[in-house]
Amino acid sequence: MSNRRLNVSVAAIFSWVLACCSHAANDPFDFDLTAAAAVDPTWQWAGYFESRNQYFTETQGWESTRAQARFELKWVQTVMSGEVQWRGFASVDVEHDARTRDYRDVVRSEVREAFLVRDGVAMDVTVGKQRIAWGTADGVSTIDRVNAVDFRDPIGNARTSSRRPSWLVRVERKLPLGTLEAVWLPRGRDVKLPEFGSPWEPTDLHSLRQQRADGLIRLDIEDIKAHEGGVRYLVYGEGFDWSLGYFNGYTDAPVQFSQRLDQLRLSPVRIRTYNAAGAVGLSSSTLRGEIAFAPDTWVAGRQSDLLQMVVGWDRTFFANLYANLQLFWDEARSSEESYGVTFALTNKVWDDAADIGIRGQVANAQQHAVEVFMDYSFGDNLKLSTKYLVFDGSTGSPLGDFDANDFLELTLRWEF
Amino acid sequence: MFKTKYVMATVSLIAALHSHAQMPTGRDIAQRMDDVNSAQDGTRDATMLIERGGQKLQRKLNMMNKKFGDDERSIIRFIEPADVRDTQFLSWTYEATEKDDDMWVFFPSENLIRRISGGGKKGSFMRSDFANEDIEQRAVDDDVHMLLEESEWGNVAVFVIESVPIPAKAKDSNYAKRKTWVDKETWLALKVEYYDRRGRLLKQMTQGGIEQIDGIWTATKIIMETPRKKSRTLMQYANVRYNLGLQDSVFEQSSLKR
Repeated sequence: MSNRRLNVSVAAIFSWVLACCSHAANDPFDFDLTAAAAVDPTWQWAGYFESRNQYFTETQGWESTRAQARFELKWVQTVMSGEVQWRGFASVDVEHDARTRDYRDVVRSEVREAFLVRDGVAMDVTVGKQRIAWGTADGVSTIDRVNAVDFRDPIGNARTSSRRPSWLVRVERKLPLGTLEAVWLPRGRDVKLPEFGSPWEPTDLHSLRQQRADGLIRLDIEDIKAHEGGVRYLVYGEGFDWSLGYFNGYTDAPVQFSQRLDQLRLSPVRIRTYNAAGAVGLSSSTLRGEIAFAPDTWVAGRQSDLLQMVVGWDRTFFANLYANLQLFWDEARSSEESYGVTFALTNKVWDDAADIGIRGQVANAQQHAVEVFMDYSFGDNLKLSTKYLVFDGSTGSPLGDFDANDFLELTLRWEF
Repeated sequence: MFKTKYVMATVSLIAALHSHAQMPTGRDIAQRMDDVNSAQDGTRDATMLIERGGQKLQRKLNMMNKKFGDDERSIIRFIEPADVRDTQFLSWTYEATEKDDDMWVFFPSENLIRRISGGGKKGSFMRSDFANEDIEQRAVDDDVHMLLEESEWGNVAVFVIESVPIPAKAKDSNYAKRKTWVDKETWLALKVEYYDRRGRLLKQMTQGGIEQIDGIWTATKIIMETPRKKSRTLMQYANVRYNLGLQDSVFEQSSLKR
C-alpha cells in the first residue's frame, strides 16, 4: 500500500514537472532580450571600415580605391540633478587610396569632428569641430553655409555636395517662442580645393595651375583664414517651422581674379547672406522653401546682388515610395539666371533590406547629374552600396567640368 | 404558483436589462485601454529581435513620452544598429482627429533637424514587423470601435473589439480593421489581429510579461508576427519608469542632439 502510494506520488510529481516544462516550452514570452550586452551610457565607441571603389567609365580606369576607417568616441555626463549635461564627441578618419597618388597623399588621416557640448536648460554651448546643416532644402540649399564644400571629393550624391565640418563656437539660447542660435568660426570654414590634376578640379582652375606649373604665370591662390559667423532664429511649431538668419563669411571657391604687377591672384570674396526658410507639414506631404539675399557679392566675375530661392515638396506614397522635388533659382544682375531642379525617387525592397532609387539635378546650361543606386544591408552591420552616376553640361559650367567623370561606385562598409 | 412565476420572470427581465446596461461599448473599452497608462510621462528602453528566415536583426532604442493635456509628445532615440545610432524621432500627436501630427527627425551626421510628413506611417519600423503606425500612440477617436463579444483568451476573461479607422485616418493606415482581445482586469490588449482591405489577416500581435510598474499595468514583452512573410519580431521593454517629472523642453527640437 505504501509503495503504491509512493509510486502515485512520484508519477504525480513527474507529471507536474513535465507539465511545467511543457508549459515553459510553449510560453511564447519565454525570452529575455535584455541579456544582450548593455550599452554604456557614459562612453561609447563606434565606427566603420569601408572600401569605396570608383571606376570612371569615360576614361575606363579606377580613379579611387579608397579604404577608410572611421573611429568615433562619444562621452556623456549628466550633472546637477539632470539639469546640465556635458557631452563630447570625436571622430577620426584614416584613409588609404593608391589611385590618388599622382595628386594626393596615398595615406592620410584627419580629425573629422571633435566637439564638447554643455547642454543646459536655457542655453547650450558647443566648442569644437562640427558639421551643422542649416536650412530646410534637401538638394541645393541657399542657407547651408556653416560648412564648406569639400572640393577634393565633392560628390555627396547626384544632387548634393559633401561638406567639411568647421571649427566653431556655437551658442543656442532657448527663448519662449523659439531658439536663437549664433555660430562663430574663428578661422573660417575649412576650405579644401581640389588638388592639381585631380579629376574634380574645375577646367579653369586647372588651366591656371598648368600655366603656373609651366612657368608662364605667377599665380597665388589665396586661402583666407579670417573669421566667419552667423546667427539665426528658429521656431518649430504646430504644422509650420520657420527661421530667419544671417551669415557673414566667404565664398567656398576663389572667385575673384586680380592682378598686381606680374602676380595673378585668385581669392574668395566676402558674402553676407540674409535668409529665411520654412517648412509646412501637409498631411502626407511637406513643403519646404528658402530665400536668401546676398548684397554686393561676386557673381560670374562681377560685383552684384544675388537673390536665391528654393521651393521643394516631398511625400511618401504607399509604404516606402519616397518622392522629393525641388526647384531652385538664382538671379544676379551681372549674369544670366541660374535655375534648375533636384529630384529623388526611392523605394525600399526585399523586406526593406535594400534602398533603390534615382536622384539627381537638372539645371540651365544643359547641366545634369543623375544617379541610380542601390544600398543593400546584410544583417545589422554590413552594407553594400552601388551607384552609377553621370554628369553632363556646357563647357565651363559646374557640372560640365565633370563631364568626363561618370563613374560606377561599389562600396562595402562594416559598421561597429 | 402563477404569482411566483410572474415575479421570477420580472426579476429575470430586470436583471437582463441591468446586465445589458452595464455592458460597455466598443468606444468605452478603447477609452479604458487608453486610460491604462495614467502617467504624465515615462521612459523605457526597448530591444527588438527580428527573426526572418535564417536572419536575426537586433535593434535597441530609448523611448520617452509626456502628456500635454489631451495631446502627447514623444522621442525615440535609436541606439543600435550602428548606421542609425543617435538618430532621433520627435513626434507631437494630437487627440483632435482633424489635426495632423507633427514629426521631426534628427540626423546626427549633419546635426540636422528635419520636418517629415506622416506619409511614412505605413512603412516598416526599422525593418521589423512593426509598422511606424504601430509604434505611435493612436487617438481613441481615430477609429470607430465595436464590441464583438465577451470571451476568454488563455484563461483570461476578455472583451473582443473591432476597430475601423475613420475615413480621415484610413489613408494613413495599412489596416482596414483591427480586432483586439482586451483583458477585463488590466484593460491591456493581449492580442491584436490586423486585417487588410480584403479582410485578410496581415499581422498578429500578442503581449505578455504583464506587470504593475509604479502602479501602472504594463506589457513588457510583445510579439508581432507576419505569417505571410514567415517573420516575427520580439520586443522587450526594460527600465520602464513613469512620472519622472520630465521637463517640457525635453520634447522640443532643441533637445535633439548627438
